[in-house]
Amino acid sequence: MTKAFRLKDVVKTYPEFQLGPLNFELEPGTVLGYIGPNGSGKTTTMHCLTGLVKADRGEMEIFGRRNNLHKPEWKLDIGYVGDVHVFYERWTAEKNLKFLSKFYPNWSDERVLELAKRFQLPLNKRAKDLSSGNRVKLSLVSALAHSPKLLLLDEPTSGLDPVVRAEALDTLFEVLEDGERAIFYSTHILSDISRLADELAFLHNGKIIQRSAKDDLTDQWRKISFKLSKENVVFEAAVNLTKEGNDHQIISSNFKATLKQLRGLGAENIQESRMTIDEITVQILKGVE
Amino acid sequence: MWHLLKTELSYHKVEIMVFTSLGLVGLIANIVTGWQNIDVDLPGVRSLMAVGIMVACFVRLISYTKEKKDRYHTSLPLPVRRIGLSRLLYIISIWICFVILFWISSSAIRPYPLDKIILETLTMSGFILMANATLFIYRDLFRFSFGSIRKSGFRIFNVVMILLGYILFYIIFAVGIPYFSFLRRINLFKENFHNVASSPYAVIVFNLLGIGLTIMSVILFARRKSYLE
Repeated sequence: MTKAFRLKDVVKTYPEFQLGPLNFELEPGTVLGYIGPNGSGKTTTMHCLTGLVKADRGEMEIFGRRNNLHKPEWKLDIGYVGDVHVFYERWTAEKNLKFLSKFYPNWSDERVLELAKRFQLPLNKRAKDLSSGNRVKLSLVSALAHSPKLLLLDEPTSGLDPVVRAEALDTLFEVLEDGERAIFYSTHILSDISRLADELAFLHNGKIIQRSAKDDLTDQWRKISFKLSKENVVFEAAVNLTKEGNDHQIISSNFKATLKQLRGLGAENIQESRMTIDEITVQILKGVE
Repeated sequence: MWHLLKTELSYHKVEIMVFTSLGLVGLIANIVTGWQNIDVDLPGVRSLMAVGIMVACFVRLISYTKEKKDRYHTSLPLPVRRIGLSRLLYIISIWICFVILFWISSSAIRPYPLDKIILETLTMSGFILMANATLFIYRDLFRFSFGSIRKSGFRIFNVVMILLGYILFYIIFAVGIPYFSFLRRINLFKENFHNVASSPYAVIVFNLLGIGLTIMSVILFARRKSYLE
């Protein structure tokens, strides 16, 4: 089956930063959360995929077609919501959407009206008079109106206040939960995507350090507390260790292996607790610093 | 591409009306003086049109940059060269309308042959093509290719270059500079340039340069490393 997108050895270099080499793919119908701290390269990845920035080397394909700016048919399959929301500022939201409709054969005016209603987007307001929340909503409607097979969402709720953010996310996720689209969602706010994502890829300093299914992460990671008198033990799959006397607490990325070792070592009062995705993410990203 | 051009013309219709008014002032003056058989210095009419279109170029570039149109249009499913060309067609289409109106008014009213005027107008058209393309070439070359050069330095350099170009153009084509002894050299330079500009060779050279720079602008846009603003 053709991948929604494929990146092969993609590199983009700036004076003090290098993104890549990136090698990963997205299956159709999959939601991939792209997690990383500020400055890790999430937006640059999006820009390279959409052609807004040219990678220094490597190949990128969208549904089997190279993202060639001279043959832009691949753009018909994507809906992009970027970090910056650009419109014809003196025109109304409706007129901006009308302008975009001419470029997409699959554009649906009925869908626009339906989405605008769900997002509570005022179509008769000029783009320059829209609040930042409404600008995001206009971008979302623009991206969704032609029913793209791949959605590229780059921190679409960045800069929004919590109330507006929650509202935009709720509506967005209702729309996205039909499971028909591949979604590549970059964020540094995990709660944005943890509900929706099938997989998470963690980006740090321009490199992907880990990619896992979300369920695998929550299944495998645990906090384990125990008593052990032995010293200088290297605990298996231990990402983090705190110790006070004989009391230990470990964060383990493979709790079964750790538990097996602890039982073998004669540890006592072993207690394990599940971790949230947020906690796991912090440990993964802290681990590389 | 044509939808993009139509959109830009529609979006900027207020500015276009302002520039057209400037051109219309000149055209009406042309018609009135023609009816009255008054032999005025015609370059003054065309200089109004030219200054108007030059201001339009400048305003267009500022508005284009401010509203991040490169980024917006590049995200559309259009070939990048067509986007590059549509940036230039905005000014070109306005100028073509100016020239057509000018020719219609002049040929309907003027009792004397218009060969020199037609040739000079064609030379000006080539200059407009050059100026229009040069602004975007400069922007694409220095803003988006040489990232190591400081932005503020280039902003100043940009303004200086544009101002110099426009001042030069005004001196060459403007009329109405009174005859003062200390301006004799400028008047002489202007007169000599009028003679050159109304020759067929100038028409060919300026228009070839204009077309060449237009093509270069489109190619450079397509080769940009970034379409972010």
